Amino acid sequence: MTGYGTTRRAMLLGAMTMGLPMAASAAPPPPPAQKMNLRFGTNYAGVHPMAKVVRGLLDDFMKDYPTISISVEETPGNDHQTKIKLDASSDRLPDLFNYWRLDPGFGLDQIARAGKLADLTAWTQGDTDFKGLFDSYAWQTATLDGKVYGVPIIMFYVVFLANKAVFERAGVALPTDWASLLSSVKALSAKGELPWAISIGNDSQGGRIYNYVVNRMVGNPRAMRMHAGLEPINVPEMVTAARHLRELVVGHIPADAISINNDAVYAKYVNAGRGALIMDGAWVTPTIKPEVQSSLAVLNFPLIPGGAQTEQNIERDLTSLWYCSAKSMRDDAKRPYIQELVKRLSSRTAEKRYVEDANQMSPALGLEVNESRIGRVALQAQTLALSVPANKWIPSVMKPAQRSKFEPLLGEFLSGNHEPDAFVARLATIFGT
Amino acid sequence: MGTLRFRPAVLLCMLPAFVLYGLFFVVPFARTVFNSLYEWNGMDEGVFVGLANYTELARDALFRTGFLRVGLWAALAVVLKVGAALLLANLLRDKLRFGRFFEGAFFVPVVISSAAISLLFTLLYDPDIGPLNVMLRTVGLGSLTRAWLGNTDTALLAVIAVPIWHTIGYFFVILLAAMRNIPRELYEAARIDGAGARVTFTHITVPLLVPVLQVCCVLAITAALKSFDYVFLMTRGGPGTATEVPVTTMYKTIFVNLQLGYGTAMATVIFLVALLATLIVRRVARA
Repeated sequence: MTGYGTTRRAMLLGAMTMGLPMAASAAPPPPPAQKMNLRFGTNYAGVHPMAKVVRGLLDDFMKDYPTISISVEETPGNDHQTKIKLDASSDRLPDLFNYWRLDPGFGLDQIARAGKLADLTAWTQGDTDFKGLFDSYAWQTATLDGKVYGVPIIMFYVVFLANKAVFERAGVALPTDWASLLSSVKALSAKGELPWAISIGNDSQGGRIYNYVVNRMVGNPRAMRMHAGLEPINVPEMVTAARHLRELVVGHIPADAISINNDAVYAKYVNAGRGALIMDGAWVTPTIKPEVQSSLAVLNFPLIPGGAQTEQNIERDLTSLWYCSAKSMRDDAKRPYIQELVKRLSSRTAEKRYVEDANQMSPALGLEVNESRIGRVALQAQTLALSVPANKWIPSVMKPAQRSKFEPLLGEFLSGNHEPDAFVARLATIFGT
Repeated sequence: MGTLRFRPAVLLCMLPAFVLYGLFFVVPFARTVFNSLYEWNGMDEGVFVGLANYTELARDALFRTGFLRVGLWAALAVVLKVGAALLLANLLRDKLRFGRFFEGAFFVPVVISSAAISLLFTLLYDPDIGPLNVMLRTVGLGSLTRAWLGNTDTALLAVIAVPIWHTIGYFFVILLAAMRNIPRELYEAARIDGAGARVTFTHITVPLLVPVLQVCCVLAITAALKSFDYVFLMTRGGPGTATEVPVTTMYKTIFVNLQLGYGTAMATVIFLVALLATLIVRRVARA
């Protein structure tokens, strides 16, 4: 039995005792007599593993409600943030959309506070379909200023993978600790192999490595405070972290790492069997070709000697939630159908499909999943992710204006353009500490 | 020059144009200037901050550097784009064999969208599979290969080269049409006086094209100031901030950071700089 299975079963038991056998859920509304259109905003588009599953669920909904059409407004990747912000400022948010957490880093908190997002508190707390579906942490993440604005969809965690074929080709052993990780990237470079298959542009895989190294050196809570401007960031430990980061990354990445996006890394390097080490959000695992997956090993990012973290941690959080437009939810004609659609998209049936068909990690409790459908790499990575405490994603505490300065600076640093102390001094100017 | 007299009937005919101009330029511009005096995220009530956005802008190194980049862009656009178009138009001014073919060939890139051109050049510049590096390696110049868009030393020039190449044909047709309107008698008289091709070009063609060249320069400079698509599609302002220009900074400020007040202050300054550049070009051309 895998750790994943054990945890899931524990979650199932927990959910059952928390109230699954409670009152029956509200009956679904009958199809509307008049034709109706719902706008659905999403970045589950293109090669995103969730795209097909969510489209299937929408199609099922439209079959059951033939008078309702759903206009899917797709904006891939982080451009979805710009689309939603622009929609909010022009007061035309989609009726329903997926988005990241309500953390300042994604800007949705401003949209919620401006009254553009529907307050779902009474509905989600009163409708029995949501009872015991998610744990309190997931609901807390969906809450801002005491109001529930979102319904959880999927979790993310960071996977650290090694392509054994590349290591074998170079005659280098897989890293097991910090010293061997540093020596292996150097040895791989010396042998003409590409140590890191990553992008270092905005919101890139390079940022994931930054998070890990900084967390390892100063600890996640302190790192969050530093990047929120609540604690000085220009401190010796951060300079040491920057030095470690430079040694680990600079000169060991693709020549075009700063100019390609995260998806291009998979097309150009990972799926071409180039690049020894991969670090990314778990949602990308299904986009790796099966023949490459077969030679991937799931690794722990090693602890750094002398660092604040002395036990394994992994970056893991709820990453995606459903949100509704306040204007749409005030519309008595639309509201029942939006609610029905949200319930279907966050039901255990849907969550099971997110896990089995899209290989994502679900925050839903009481889920019985067929582990054989998850895939070896995703399963091992999920098992590892669930076995250790979670770190929060550092940029989530940054204001958008800070983030838009931080990410280019990090890209420049990982390209080798700044000395560690100068880099940290510039971080201090961004975060005001 | 006669005096233009406006009769009521003429004014009435011009009214729709004035209304459209007012609705789609004057009002939005006034609104932009108004918004720039507020700290506003586009959703809440804005807070009046007076000229604070402008004083902050004066301290914004990224925005200032963006203007230096766009200045380089404009200078290169005038010299290379207008210059190349002028030379090409001069070559094809007289009817040549295959002249029509070349006229079409020079203009073809203009009809392709900037998005497609940007994608094409992104692939062309690719460090591994891009034809540019492949060609350099093939001719033994492998040491010159690099990640053209990923290198802070080359990214800006690599981006600027694309719109310059892309729109040469546009200026070429403008200048060719203007050249063909120059009376042939002037060239014949000059030839009788013993003037060669170079002299007729510098003493007849160019002076008579000054008003058109002035328009071309204004168009090239304002296009450089407004250029967003090439930068956004090829580098998004990166690597780091190496290709960040005022309009990309403005876009990110407004649509990513939701700082609409500050972003509209940027928009106002960009407009004023473009206006100033246009006036300078007109003054220089007149001199």
